[in-house]
Amino acid sequence: MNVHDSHRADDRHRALERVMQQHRLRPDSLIEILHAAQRQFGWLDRDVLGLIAARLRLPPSLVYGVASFYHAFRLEPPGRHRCTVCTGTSCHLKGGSRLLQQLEQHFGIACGATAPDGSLTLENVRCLGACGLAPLIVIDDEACPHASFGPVVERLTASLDGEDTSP
Amino acid sequence: MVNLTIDDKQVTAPKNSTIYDAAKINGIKIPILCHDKKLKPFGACRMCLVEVEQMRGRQVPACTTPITEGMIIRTSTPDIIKARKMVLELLLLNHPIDCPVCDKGGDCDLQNLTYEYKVNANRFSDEKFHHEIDYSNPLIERDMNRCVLCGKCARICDEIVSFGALTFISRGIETKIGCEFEGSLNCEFCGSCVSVCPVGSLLARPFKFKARFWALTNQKSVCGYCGTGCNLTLGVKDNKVLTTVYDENQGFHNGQLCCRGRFGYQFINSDKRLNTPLVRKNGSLTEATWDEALELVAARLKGAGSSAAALATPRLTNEELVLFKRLMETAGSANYDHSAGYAHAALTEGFAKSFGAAASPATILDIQKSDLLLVIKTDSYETHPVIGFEINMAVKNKGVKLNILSDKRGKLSKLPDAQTLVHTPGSEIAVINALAKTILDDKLAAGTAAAIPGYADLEKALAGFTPEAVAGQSGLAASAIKRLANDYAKAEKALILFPIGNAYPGHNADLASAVANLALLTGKLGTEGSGVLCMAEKNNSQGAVDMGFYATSGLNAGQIMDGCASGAIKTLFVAGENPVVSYPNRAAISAALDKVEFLVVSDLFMTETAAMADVVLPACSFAEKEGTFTSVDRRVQHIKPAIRNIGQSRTDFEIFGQLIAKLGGQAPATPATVFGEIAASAPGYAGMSYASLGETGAFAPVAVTAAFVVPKTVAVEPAAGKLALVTGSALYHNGTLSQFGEGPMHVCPEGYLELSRTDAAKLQIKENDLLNVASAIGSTKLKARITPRMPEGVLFSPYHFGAAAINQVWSGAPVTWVTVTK
Amino acid sequence: MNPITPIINGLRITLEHLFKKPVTLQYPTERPKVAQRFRGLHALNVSHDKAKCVACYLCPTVCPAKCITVEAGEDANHDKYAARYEIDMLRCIFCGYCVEACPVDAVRMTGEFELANYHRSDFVYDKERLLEKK
Repeated sequence: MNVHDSHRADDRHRALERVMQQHRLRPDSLIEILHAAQRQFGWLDRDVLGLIAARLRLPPSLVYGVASFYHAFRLEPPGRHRCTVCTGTSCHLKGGSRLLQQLEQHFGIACGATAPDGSLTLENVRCLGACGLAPLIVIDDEACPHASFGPVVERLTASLDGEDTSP
Repeated sequence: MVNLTIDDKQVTAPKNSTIYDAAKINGIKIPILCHDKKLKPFGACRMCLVEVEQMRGRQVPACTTPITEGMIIRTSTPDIIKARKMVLELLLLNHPIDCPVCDKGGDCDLQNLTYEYKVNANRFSDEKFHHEIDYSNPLIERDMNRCVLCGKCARICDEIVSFGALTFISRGIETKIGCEFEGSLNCEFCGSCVSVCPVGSLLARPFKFKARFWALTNQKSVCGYCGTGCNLTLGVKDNKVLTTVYDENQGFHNGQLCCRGRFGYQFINSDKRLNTPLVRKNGSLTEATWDEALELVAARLKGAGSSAAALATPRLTNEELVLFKRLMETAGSANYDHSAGYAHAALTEGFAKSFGAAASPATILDIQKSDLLLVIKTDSYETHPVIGFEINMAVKNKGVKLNILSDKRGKLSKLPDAQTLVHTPGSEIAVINALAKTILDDKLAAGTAAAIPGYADLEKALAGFTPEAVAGQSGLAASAIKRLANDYAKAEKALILFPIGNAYPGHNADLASAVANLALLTGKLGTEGSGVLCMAEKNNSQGAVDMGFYATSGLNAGQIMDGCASGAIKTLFVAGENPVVSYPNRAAISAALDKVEFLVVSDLFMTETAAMADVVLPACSFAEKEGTFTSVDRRVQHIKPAIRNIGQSRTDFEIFGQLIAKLGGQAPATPATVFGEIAASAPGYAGMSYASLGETGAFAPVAVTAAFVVPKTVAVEPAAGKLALVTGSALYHNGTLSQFGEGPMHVCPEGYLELSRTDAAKLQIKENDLLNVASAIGSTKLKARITPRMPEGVLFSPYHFGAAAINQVWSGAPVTWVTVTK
Repeated sequence: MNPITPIINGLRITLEHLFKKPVTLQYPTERPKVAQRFRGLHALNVSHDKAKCVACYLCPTVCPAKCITVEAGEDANHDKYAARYEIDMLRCIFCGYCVEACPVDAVRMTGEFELANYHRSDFVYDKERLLEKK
């Protein structure tokens, strides 16, 4: 297993197994099951994909192919903090893309990547459906409407620093 | 039939065909990259765009659009040509165009189309790909930079091979074909993906840089490994077989081959081939002339009578087997046999009694036409992989139900909705009897069954085989047996498949009778899609039976070996067999061959058996001779020499002919003459000639005279504290010949012992641990392979290998009880 | 016709040539000037200390005299190179098709025309001998 707490892994596997059983191990429910697995584990690692392939009697390559096709599935562990920048039409016009570039430079992480220490993942999304709040940034599931570079960096740095002092 | 107009030509095509198919059968060529006739339409490459008048001239892909009555289609208007040119430009945008160093050059669809459509320049520009090339395995090279994403490799691997090693990864411009986690290829290495690749993305490494396609002479032949009778095209240059060439129009299997067929041809031109006759002088084999060697053999055989015996490999042609038999008869001996004597008993004793013919009353073509397949042992896939592909296609495309009765799980068990009943080793006959008993009890027998002779005896004999009684001994649930019996009897068409061979002593005459009883009871015989197919091991096993090359009045192979040991047999002529490795109980076989006064071996290689011989005659491979092979379903196929004889080697036909002449007999001049005799005498071969066989061959019909035969069952007594060892075939090998094919040896170089996870945990064995396997007759050391397919307490080992051979442990019983230590 | 006239004509021609520059060369002391596009002995071009030839087999394919033998090999980087490249000069007709066919400009024809040798085997030029002289 990965960075997750090992004592909870069994629970997660049990939950995944339950979902697979709900779908009667049908190969055409693969996407649903991948979603369920991602909900449980946060991302899809080799073991989980291998397990799903074996249970659904699908070739592992196909399961990996499907998981790699959809951007919704994470094949790498996400950072402990997530910063999602909207680059939809409104946010783009309001400077969302520029903001993303600035953040990339500031934190030295490319969009879609995670910092080497696993602290932060920077990603973009095409539209969050809240164009009135453009440019919109979501930090750890919390929306920052009308975002600008300074406050966002401050906010993120605070989260990252806060993490360092906590056990 | 549907009427339509293609390029102003009135044509007809079968209903349900696509525009592409309709054009193809009417001789109109539509360019395409992503189509193979075995695969489902995909529509990936957009090269086959055509205009349909009814669709207001819209350009539609021909390969996915079904035809309708009155359709008016144009395949090459200026607009279409323009569109195709652009498709090619877009494909070439990322293609490296490294044709001078690409092995596909000359045989490349993309290259041909680029040339045909004169795409000399590209209006677009983009970066080329920089994918890493996969050199990780010795057989298949994957260069995704050249890929055009037609998806044929991924589709053939899924639809036909049912392995699913390759798939589309990612999407958009980043899409590529790859394995899980973008790792390296680790599959069956059948090379199907290589065969269908339209560009040089997937290449056969054994042939890499060996020659250009246009320099090869293509020679059609029949594969010399298993009994499926696959057709091959050998790519020959300078008297060397350099590769096998894919031809989608060849054979019932449409050019589909397995690992050994496609990659195992190197034995033909191997450096290890014997070049000159060898004669033992002062204890060591020394080079001799043919005259000297043949004179020696002839002198020994002359008037030898029953002190002479012969063993042949069923890889010889029908003509050679007939001649070998005649040679022995000229010498006055009736002691000749093949395949260890027991491996053909299912046909020569089982079917001979049950069906009145020593052949299977079904063909490979029935597999896809059936409703239900009952496969005895998952090994059917390993012994005859191309028949395995037929099963895959039947189950996946035609919805045929698959039931498997086996002592272990296997690849076939993974097919959709496959039901695998895993019984204890050695109990298959009892289980099949229980199936028959259920059919009788549940009144599922066909009305005609009672009239077949032996019905009453069978009914009486089956009394003790209630599913409940058999359940205990076989480890199956009685309900599972009942369900299978019901499914089998109620299916409209049902086919039973089972492999036979040296490694399957349990698949004997009794199993054949038990299986035949099932088919006879339910009347699943004689109609399309029904019957019993006994899959004999080697490429001409069925032919050897048809030619009568087995013990009828003389000694069988086992008795010949006993005779050698006791001194009753003084001269033994072994043609192509390698009993030291392929017969059970190596110590006893070696002792017998040591004891026999005069041992003659004709073979391609210095095998373990040849090394013990007094005279070794260099023989020819199938690529050097003319003759016929009979496949498991009695398809008789004609082969012609693809290359000249290697070194001084001679075909067995020549060897036997010259010996017959030396013994004072009349030797036939050509194989054609002998085949004329075969056509006149062998049952079912009447009317055949080389000319009438043509390229596709012809089926020798099987006339069935049904009778019920009570099969003997021998209960396998478990030995306390020991594990049950069953032998069999590995997917990559066939007999002992494939040891000289580089492809199979790259993938599976040595013997191994497969065991279950539970046993491994109990014995604290890890993967690749060297294990000492010991039985009552001896021991050997094998590497451990831990697989989920093995049930607890059961071990499996393939038998093909001369080194660390399993026949040092395996006594020849269906189940050998062994102990395993680290 | 006057029997003297042809003799005089002949002598005139002889006389004229006495004052012309001779066509013949005092070979081997005098050397001919080989034309730029003369098709003489082949040479394999070198680039980055390696023969440029990638063993694509186009030259043996196009060769009308079938005098070129190529065998491809795979180097450590899995690249294709000519493990063997031989031209049999006794069979070669110096047509230059090989040069024309080469997709990577690996073979050219030099002005070298003195190919005499004592043994037939010496006329088979292998890769070493064909490699461009520096």
